[in-house]
Amino acid sequence: MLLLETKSLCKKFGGLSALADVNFKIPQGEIISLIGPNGAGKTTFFNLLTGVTEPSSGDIFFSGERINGFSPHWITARGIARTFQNIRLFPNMTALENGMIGRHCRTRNEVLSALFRTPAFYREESEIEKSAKEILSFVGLLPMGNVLAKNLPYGDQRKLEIARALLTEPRLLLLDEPTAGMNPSESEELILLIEKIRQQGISILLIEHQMRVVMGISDHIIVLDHGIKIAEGDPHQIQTNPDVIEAYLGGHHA
Amino acid sequence: MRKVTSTTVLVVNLLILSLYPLFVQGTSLSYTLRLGGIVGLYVLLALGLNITLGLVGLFDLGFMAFYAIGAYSASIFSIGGWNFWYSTLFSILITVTLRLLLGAPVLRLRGDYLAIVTLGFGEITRLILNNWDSVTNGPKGLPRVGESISGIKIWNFELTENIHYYYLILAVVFLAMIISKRLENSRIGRAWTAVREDETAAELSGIPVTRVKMLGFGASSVFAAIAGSLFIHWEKFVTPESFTFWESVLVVSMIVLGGIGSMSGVISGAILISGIPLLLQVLLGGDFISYRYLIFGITLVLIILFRPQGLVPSQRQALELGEKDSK
Ligand SMILES: Nc1ncnc2c1ncn2[C@@H]1O[C@H](COP(=O)(O)OP(=O)(O)OP(=O)(O)O)[C@@H](O)[C@H]1O
Ligand SMILES: [Mg+2]
Repeated sequence: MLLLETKSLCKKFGGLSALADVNFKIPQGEIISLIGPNGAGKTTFFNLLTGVTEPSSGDIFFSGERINGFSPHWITARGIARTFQNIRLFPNMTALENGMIGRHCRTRNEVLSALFRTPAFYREESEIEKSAKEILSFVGLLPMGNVLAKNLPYGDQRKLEIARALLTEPRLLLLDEPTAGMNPSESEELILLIEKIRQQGISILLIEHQMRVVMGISDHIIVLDHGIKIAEGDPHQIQTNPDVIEAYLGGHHA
Repeated sequence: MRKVTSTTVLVVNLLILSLYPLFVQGTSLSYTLRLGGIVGLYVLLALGLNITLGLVGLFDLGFMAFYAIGAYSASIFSIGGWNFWYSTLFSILITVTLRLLLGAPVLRLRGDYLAIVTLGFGEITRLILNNWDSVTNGPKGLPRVGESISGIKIWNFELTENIHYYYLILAVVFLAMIISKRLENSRIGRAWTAVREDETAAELSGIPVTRVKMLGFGASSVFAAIAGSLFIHWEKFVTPESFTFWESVLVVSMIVLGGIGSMSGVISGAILISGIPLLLQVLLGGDFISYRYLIFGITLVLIILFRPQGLVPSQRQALELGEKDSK
């Protein structure tokens, strides 16, 4: 079944065409990588999918439903969660609290139940706490639960971002260069984590620069260059595609 | 562990504050009860503004406008013959409504714009109070000659003396503290903090940022309205001069100085900033009275220098992590 589909998606920033006529399909349960040189439009693509910016033209469908034009929190509640190229945590909240924020769209307590501390309030709070702990332990961060996000080591901050995204119960998880700035053993660990997430039935769209990672993990790869989709296929097809090699080796000086 | 100690601190402070009047009532120190009541109103305002400024991180420079709206609407109702409870309730409704009407267009704006708009709103409110003679009686304030604001009656007990208002305000402050804490430690309170920390990340983590900001913006004005109503029922008159920009700045400094987002910090800040000038005014007397703002200013600078995070910096609550993953 198709989870996500974009139809001739375009995004212009003034005169710059950051994405042009991108058609894109993600089937359920796969790991799809989005690659391309710097400035190719990968992050812009994530921003369109999550409602951060609106497409100049074209449409986005998520499990059959058009989602462009809606606000990001609504899209998150529909089941798309993401991480950021530059880590964006809530620095002065603890790791556990960062995770608990992810539960917001799956819970309902409002001001009155908080003021009167109703049984429903306690029930939901402990549910939030429990699931946050579960996911923190899933990514291996539970022992750091009470540490402020800003005091976590870099690699753990990346994992915490993923944990927060997972806590929104996504069906599609968008990861924007999750291994950036990590040493090889940290990257290795992260790749295992991504595999583990996929085994939970969550589809993953991954932006990644390290070809070793991309080739090892992806079911399917899509290549963007200057906002245009220049190739797609399985890792083997991409590695041998002349356009891709050209984009990576020659394109920059054009 | 920490929780126990902070509860102890709270109980001890409350005990001292509630026993204090019994010792000074009828002595030459009884004027301090009036000061205590005034300081209490500032604590209430600071707790209210702490929700927007401290928790949600909205830079709100016109908070006094809502204190004014609360005070004036309560006065008008009281003059119209309503008792304390009804006039307070309806002044809360009016204050919150105006607050949300201001918030709806403004809360989409980023920080500095919000500061400018709220500042402007504060000034506009004061100008309206000064010039809308038929309703506010202009600079002369309310009530007009021949009218009066009634006092507060709780069941059959009529509050007449400062000591009564001291106790009432103490009770309201205590209630406001409980409300603040409960809001802070809840799903909505966490969402407020997340919005303060990173608005974009919060929205993308599923928080309806604008709605959550409106909630905080509205909730804080409830505190302002209650403070305003208490103020006029105690003072029995009100003029626009009580609600200058300077007052808004004072409340903001109480929060910054005490420790943004930290309840004990904000309370300490409010007590210091509103209390010190009042006390100095009385203590210094005579020739020294003109030095009181100098001393006050120096105190503030010293605190900021030595405790840049505020007197009692805010701390996140630690939760039990369970055994299963403790390596
Ligand atoms: N908000 C914006 N306003 C104007 N131009 C933008 C904006 N966001 C992105 N761009 C431009 O759009 C193009 C694509 O940027 P994008 O960040 O999507 O690239 P990317 O593929 O993620 O690159 P990288 O690998 O460096 O992260 C770039 O030329 C960038 O300068
Ligand atoms: Mg990018």
